Amino acid sequence: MNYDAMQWTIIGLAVFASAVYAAQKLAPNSVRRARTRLALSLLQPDCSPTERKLGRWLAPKPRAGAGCGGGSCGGCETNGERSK
Amino acid sequence: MSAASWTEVALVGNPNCGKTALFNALTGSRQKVANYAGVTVERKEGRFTLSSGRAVRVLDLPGAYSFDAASPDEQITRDVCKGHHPEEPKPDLLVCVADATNLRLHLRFVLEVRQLGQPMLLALNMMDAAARRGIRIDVARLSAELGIPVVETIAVRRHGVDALRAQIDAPSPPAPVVAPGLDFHAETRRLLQVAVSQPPQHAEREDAIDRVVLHPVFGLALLALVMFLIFQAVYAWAAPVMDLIDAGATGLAQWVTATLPPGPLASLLADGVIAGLGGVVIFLPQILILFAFILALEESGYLPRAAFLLDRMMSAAGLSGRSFIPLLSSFACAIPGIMATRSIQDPRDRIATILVAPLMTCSARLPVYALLIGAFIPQRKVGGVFELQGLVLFGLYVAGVASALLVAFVMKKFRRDRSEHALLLELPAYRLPHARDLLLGLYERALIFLKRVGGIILALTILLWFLLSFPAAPADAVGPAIDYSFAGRIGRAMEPLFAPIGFNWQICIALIPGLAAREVAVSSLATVYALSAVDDDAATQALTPIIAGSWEFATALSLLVWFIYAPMCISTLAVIRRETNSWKNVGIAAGYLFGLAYLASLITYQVAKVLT
Repeated sequence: MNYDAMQWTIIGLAVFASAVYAAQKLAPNSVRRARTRLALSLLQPDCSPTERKLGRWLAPKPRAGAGCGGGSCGGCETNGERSK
Repeated sequence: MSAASWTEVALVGNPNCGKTALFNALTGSRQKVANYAGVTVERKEGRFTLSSGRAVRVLDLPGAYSFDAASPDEQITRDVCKGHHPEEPKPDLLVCVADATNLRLHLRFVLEVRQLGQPMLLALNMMDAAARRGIRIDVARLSAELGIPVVETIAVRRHGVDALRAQIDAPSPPAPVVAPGLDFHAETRRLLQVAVSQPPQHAEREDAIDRVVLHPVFGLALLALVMFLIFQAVYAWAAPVMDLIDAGATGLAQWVTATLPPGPLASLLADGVIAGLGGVVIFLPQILILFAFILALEESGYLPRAAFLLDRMMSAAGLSGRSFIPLLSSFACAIPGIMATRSIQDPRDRIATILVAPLMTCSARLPVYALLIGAFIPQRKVGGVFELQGLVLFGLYVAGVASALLVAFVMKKFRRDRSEHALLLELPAYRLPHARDLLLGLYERALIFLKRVGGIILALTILLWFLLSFPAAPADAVGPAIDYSFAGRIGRAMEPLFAPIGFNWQICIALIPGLAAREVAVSSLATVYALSAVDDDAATQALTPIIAGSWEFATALSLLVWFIYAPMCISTLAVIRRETNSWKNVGIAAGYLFGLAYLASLITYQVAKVLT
């Protein structure tokens, strides 16, 4: 891979990862709803095994309780314990 | 492991008896502890395994003086202990924690917990402080009289934790049998008589200190002096480390520019990541110095005394003394501050406190203030002693507090309920802060800050770099490339709205990602100016000299004022929604704060322009 292709790949990945991370931090409920909808559409009986696997991977984990509203603030972060 | 196989243990007790310190010692976690009541306002959960292999799930409950719950946090404790909480099973064992230096108060609640008739044990905490005061407790007798096991602990030093674990691991003690209708006060007096001996005058030294600290005149003067010295230290001590970080970031950016071939990747790293994050990390030393003082004051037991001193002033403004701790917590971050309002019993007082909490100067504002003060306020002494920059920072903090009091006063005028609530506050014993706890607290703060830098700030900086770099300028472009980018166009579109308050298009751009977290405004400005630079040397220059050379003094003042008021934190608004269960309150908070920010910045800018 030449340098030009490599740098555009890195930039693309960095921008995509940043967008996903920022969305998860700033609008966790909207991201959760979007993931649920997408996962459900991929888990339909007529979907291929690969699509179902992707759907299971996309499905959000059950809520474990959250201390803060948006989550972008780290002011009350804990070290693995749940606070409700 | 299924939930059914856990042994459920709940820590209960009066506020400030050391439940959270014991929780941390048992579970190895690092929940916030401080020497005042009301630090824990929600139940916290941790897990540990006993030597027998039994798994324990432990809940740290908010402190309560009684099961006649008066505030939302006390209701949680009552409901969990009685097994009425919808999301928590009834605990298998209650560990009642009591401050050994203040059994006259704490034993009353122990008796109330015992009345529930559930398996329980008593952890007599702060036994070292009790011994120092000459208080002797016959633990065996107390245990026999109460009919429950009693364990001695010193939670902050992790003493007695093994004995407590062994006691939890032992076969469950039988539930105590108590005759109904017991007079708790009379029983407390009887227990003290038979099991506790204490010297008649054990608090002479503390009383002497309190005569000065709580004095209506000397006390307030001392409080002002303490706060003033803290802000002086923030500027006087942080400079050498800040210079080092600045030099490191500039050197790294130059190295990246010189090493990588010119192109978007080099620009992303040098103009985006390094310029943006370097612009924020530079303020870490100032944040740590500020928190070192706040943590020391928290541990010493001085803060509730400050609440007592300010009660009259707060009451005149329509806030109760109970608002002090939530407002104080808001100096770190408004989110825990708003959550701490759960300890306020009166719903109107609580809403008033929630609505003014965002006006307290949170640590996220510090990088913005430090950037603007460093760029526009000369580094010189006033009266040969005080740093002018420190004075300005102190003034900004005072402006936040004064604005909060003013807003609360106006809100009081709109309220129909004019009743006032007396402040009942337990003044804790004075304690010398432990160096280990201070260092641990600072480590936590540094970690939180760096996690924000490496998390949300990095993500938004990369996104902003993208929006500032694309689409690229057309071949026949006449202006700078940034003018053709998405963000450049957004900034230009916003400029007319913010021109009356002196904001240029670069500031307008920085305000948008700054809504996610205030510090992002600094990293955004650094990225915007790095990408606007005409050559590589200018691009790797630190932000401070750039804005000092290109902004008017009136613009800097206006932006400082904007950040006193503007609710540039989505998380704070989300927490207001959650805590008040009302979008209306979110609308009120956002509306009045943005309105105040615009109005105050407009007046500041226009007046400063005329004067300068």
